[in-house]
Amino acid sequence: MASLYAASAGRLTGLLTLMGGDRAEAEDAVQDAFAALLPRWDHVRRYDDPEAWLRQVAVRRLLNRKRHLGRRQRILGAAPRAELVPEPGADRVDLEAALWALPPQQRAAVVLHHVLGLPVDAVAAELHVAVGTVKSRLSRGRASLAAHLRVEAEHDA
Amino acid sequence: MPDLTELLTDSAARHAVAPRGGFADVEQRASRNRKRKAALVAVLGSGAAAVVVLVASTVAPRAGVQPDQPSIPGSESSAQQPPPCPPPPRGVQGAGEPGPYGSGLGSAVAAELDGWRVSAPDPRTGDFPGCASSGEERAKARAVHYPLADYDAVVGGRVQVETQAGPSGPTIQLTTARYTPSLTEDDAAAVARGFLDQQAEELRQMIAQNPSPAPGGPTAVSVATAPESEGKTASGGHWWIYRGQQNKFGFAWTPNGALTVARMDPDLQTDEATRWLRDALLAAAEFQASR
Repeated sequence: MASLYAASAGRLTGLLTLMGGDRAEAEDAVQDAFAALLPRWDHVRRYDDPEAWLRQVAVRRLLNRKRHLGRRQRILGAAPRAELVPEPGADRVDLEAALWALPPQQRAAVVLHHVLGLPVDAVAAELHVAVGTVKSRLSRGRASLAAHLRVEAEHDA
Repeated sequence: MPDLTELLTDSAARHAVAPRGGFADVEQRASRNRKRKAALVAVLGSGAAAVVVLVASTVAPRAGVQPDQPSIPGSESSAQQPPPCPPPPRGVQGAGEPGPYGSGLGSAVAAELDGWRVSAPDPRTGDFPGCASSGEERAKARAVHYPLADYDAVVGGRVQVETQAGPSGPTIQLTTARYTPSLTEDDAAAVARGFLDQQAEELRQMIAQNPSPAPGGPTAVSVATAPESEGKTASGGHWWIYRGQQNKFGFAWTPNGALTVARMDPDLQTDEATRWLRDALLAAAEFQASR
């Protein structure tokens, strides 16, 4: 499992940081997901893609925390963000600011679809929502991003 | 212009750095999860509230060394301890060894647990030991039960932190209250220790990654209210702001090696429990460092 951690932890953290807008929370979700995997490793290791199991657990934890923390999250969302990675260029700052302005569920759909390249039905399965819901979230998310960034929105697969 | 997928993928890659703590942190979290589940199993099926209190002594600043004060609005020194508590009421007898405050409240049970003293509350009133010797103070003490969502989700625990003038200087009490029945002392202690260990470990790692500029570690310790942002102190020290899962805190070294720790959770700024918890963080860090 240590080798899976070495191969996946950074990638998952990057994905969840983009999805959640907060590196510390992304780290927590990833570490918690691996901690949840540890006692189940003998079972999950037989899966075709154990990282997919991890990603589902981590994304769910991230979104649940966002949903449940309510007021705390709103307050912390306005707090200064600790920067732990090299400062990105202005275009990335704009992109991430626009992304983090999206509602969490829209953001999750956009990241899973565009970063991981998951098809719409796979995104729906990971987020436990209907395919139509994912299409709607992708459409609205892209429209919002395009409005912010003037990036030409793509069409659904 | 690059398309959206390219931009997002590139951004995710830039954030793709493994979490601090690495796989060792995963193993620690898994261990804590096992303890919490064991505590949950232990409490299923009974009725009365069970409470344990963990008591540890704070570590006073070394003699002759004064911490520099950081230029953070609202900062305060840990030397500003709350006034000494009145003696605990007499006549309430508990079972077991005398507690740190004599044989009154809080003395029902005493057991050494890796250096933490574990004791039970007054079995008659259910009050916590400490400063709550009057009705009004007891009500206040009950009101500062400090909810921790992490434990709520697993075992429904609460952590309360109090400071008190003990016989050998200021002491800190960390109370884990379990309002689901039949929590054994060990289980409740494991919950509280899990909280402490988590806090102390995070702080210890932060300090280890950013060691004191003075040889030999901290020369003095002070606490501050939540700073606004990362930055330099007036004396040249530096704040590192950390945003953890439940408790947000930062710390700063001054050039002479004095350490200032600040809570970062804005929900807690006005709560008296915040001050106690800050002190507890320091005590936990010192305790961890001494092991």
